[in-house]
Amino acid sequence: MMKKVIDRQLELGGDKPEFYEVFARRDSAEPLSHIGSVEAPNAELAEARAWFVYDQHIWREMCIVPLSAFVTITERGSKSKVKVV
Amino acid sequence: MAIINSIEDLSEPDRALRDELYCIADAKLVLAGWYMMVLQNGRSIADFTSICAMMQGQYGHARALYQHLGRFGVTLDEVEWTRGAKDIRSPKLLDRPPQSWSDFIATIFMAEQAVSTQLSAYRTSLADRTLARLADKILKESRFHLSYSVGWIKALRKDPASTVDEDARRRLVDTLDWWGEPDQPDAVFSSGYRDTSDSDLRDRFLSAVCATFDVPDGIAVPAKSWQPSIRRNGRPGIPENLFEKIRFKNRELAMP
Amino acid sequence: MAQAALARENTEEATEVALQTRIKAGATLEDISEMTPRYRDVLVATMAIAADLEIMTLPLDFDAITFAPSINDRIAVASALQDEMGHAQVMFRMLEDFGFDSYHQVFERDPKNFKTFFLLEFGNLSPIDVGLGHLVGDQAGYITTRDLEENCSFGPYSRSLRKVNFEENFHVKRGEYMIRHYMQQGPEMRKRVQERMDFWFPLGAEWFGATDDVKSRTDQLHYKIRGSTNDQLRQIWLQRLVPFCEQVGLKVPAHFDSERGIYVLDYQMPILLNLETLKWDFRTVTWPEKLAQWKKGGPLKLPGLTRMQVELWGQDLW
Repeated sequence: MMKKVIDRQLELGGDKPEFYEVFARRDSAEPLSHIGSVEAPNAELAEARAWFVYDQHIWREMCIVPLSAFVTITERGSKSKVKVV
Repeated sequence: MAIINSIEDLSEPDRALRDELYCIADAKLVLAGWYMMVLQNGRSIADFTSICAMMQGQYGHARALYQHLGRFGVTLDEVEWTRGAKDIRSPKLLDRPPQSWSDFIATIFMAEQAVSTQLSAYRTSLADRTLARLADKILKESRFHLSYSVGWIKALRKDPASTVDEDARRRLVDTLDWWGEPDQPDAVFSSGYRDTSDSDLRDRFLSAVCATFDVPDGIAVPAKSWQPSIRRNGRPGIPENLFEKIRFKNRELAMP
Repeated sequence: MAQAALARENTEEATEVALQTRIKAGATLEDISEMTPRYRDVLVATMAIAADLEIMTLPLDFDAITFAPSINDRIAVASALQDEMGHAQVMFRMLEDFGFDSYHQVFERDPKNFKTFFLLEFGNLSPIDVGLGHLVGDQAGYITTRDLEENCSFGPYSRSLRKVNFEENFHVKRGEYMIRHYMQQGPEMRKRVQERMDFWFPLGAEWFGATDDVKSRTDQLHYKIRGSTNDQLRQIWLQRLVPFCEQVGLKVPAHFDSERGIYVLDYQMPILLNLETLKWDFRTVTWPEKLAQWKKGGPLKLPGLTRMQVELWGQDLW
């Protein structure tokens, strides 16, 4: 038995995990909403993980944005740039 | 289309189609078993979620294909219960267990890519519109399976010591076993069930792989004993110990 | 010096009182900066336990997937586990903002230090256990997380539980469907289900923790992290489970007390499970004895969590 050793640079994208925020809407009448967050070292893996983790509805539209791309306005100085949901 | 109860009643193209769909469905069945067996090796919580989802995806596709095979007399009872290891027609690629996370990722990349490539040739089928719609639906749903493996390959490659390219090369040879020799008789294509020949699909698969891995020139598989009905060389069936792990159990407790 | 310390204490006290007043008035917190250290500790402890409970379903459901009787059944268990892992992901993600490292928590932490519940620490023996796990265990979990969603004064946590509860409700329904089906499959099958229900029921009843007369963690209620006491939540669980069992013909050690207008257990908690025979001894013991049994854990806890932290390849797989 081999203990899992997670290489943070490689698998998380750096010393700290890289997060992608997930946005989706169910139908055209619904606003695009922030539905959650996934961690991934690159966009391809983030895309798959977002699709699999947030599959509680059949989404009409879904997209992801790297957390690092967020510019906070009301939450400036807060520990979390954007709330998980 | 009439329901056929005996393989002998089928025309040659129908028999070839039945065999090929069985091979594709079994590839998905065993691939789902791979996801199941590797689940606990996941390297993040999101991997656990993703692997569960891909497992369900593959089982769901396999089930839909088996149901479609019902028109050729195939029953779920046969699919889930009366078959043994030697009756499973999955690609040779999936016989050998993954040797590491990197080998697992390389293998699912090859398997997902191969099966999706083959199904892509059914999307336009005029001879079987239901199958065409099913193939299209499966392909759309498989897109995220490919993103998952490609994302992981990219992450693993950042490590100069990564073996993922080597693993992929080894698995590629096993994957090509699924297509046998180029230019052999291809009843499913000539009858119009598929819009592309096996030889061209093999090339289509190789070009898709090229986008992610270097494919050595002239890569080929000796196809001495390749049989179209099982899409592999050598003896039919999968290893007994793999079958034992992935077979269904507790039949009396199956839900209706 | 003494004066400075006193002043600091007074300020802390004032902040604490102000926070409690705000919460009592129905305020929702959105950010860590609004919390007092005590509030934060209580909230984090609650979220950390919930996250551990979700992750423990990986070893628990894994066997259930492998011994599933059909493609459909395997898909159903995998789907439930996918949901649970999605919940774990959301919860551990939230804990990251409180300084937790998810990777350390899941893959490096000593399995002994995971705070899981006794109910999740026994392997499933057959698909009957899968049905009962949904019916008894997911029902209990659902009641707990519904309460948190409705009442939690930390807004992000309450919101994150919408997805969780939406999905947990399906698991409970699946459990009802399975058990109702099995109970229609003749006397032999009914006996098998009853035997396993005898094992599961007390585990579900103790999911909600110690009875209110001994319960100490009242800070959760003070801060409106949750809204109901252990006994209140247990009562909701009994109200849902007991009538269902009566309807399908399963005997459980609880009944409706028409004088008090509530469901009551036929035994006095706490009781101990004999870990050799896996049979319950219905003689009441002390809470310290029960806590010692919980602390020791069930047979799946350590091997199950250890498996999650290691990798097996090649011949170890098949």
